[in-house]
Amino acid sequence: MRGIRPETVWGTLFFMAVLTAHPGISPAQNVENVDLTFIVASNEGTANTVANPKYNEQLKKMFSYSSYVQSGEVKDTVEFNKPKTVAVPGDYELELTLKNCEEGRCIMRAVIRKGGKDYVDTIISLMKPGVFLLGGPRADMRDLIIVIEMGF
Amino acid sequence: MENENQPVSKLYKEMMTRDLREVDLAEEKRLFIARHFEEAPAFVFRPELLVPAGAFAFCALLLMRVWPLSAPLPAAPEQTARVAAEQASAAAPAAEAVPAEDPMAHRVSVERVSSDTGIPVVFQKTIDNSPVTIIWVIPRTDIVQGG
Repeated sequence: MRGIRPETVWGTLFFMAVLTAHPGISPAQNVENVDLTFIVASNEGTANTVANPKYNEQLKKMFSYSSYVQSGEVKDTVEFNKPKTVAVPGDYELELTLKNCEEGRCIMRAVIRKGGKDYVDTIISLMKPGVFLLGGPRADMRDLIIVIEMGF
Repeated sequence: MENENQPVSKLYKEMMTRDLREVDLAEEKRLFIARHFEEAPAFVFRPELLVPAGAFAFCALLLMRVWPLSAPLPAAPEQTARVAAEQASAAAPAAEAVPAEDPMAHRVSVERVSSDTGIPVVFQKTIDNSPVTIIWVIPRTDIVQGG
């Protein structure tokens, strides 16, 4: 039986080095923290129960509703290519999938579903830490706003 | 007697040394092996296969770095986007678009958005020097009622 040639060893090492150097499959970037805040907005009354005071002011500057009621908060993690499903007020479900993370920028897919239909299906490229809002689903004749924070 | 044999012995030794040189022996060995033994089965991790495979993988990954998966997808038709933006301003009057040249506006970018139930609208508003990206879906029922 012939021995393994040095070229074979170097070629294999080179191939492995190239594969492990690819940032998209680095194990250190497989999990990201995600904070979700569910807010029901309406023009009925002037109630404001959003727990995070930072959001209180920002929501008033962004929208023109008179009432913002926080209906839930979820702190969770999303894993690379593993869809994470979270129940959302109004019988919706939110599915988050981390697609890629490279140099502080993450690509994530967010889908809001109800009754087999995609209320919204989007792919976001986000520089950590970052925030974006998904809005519009109706919950008891009010508008639902989902604040998605990532990398905090 | 020993003295008489010495030249013969020396001559014989020289002859053997000349005839059984290492180069000839190696060639003889190679021919002998080729004649009496089968060729070893091909090994998949041969350098002549590994080097092109490695080069191909390197080029492919290099291209992925130049054109990463995060490259923006083709935008929606301009007409649809304009109509959607007008409808968004009606639905959320306080929202204002951020100028495209704002470098902070690239902190969050929407690469794709679609909806089965309405028209998705994307807009950004800068609050306290930080842009906030909002994706809002206007239900079709609202559009029919409004229009």
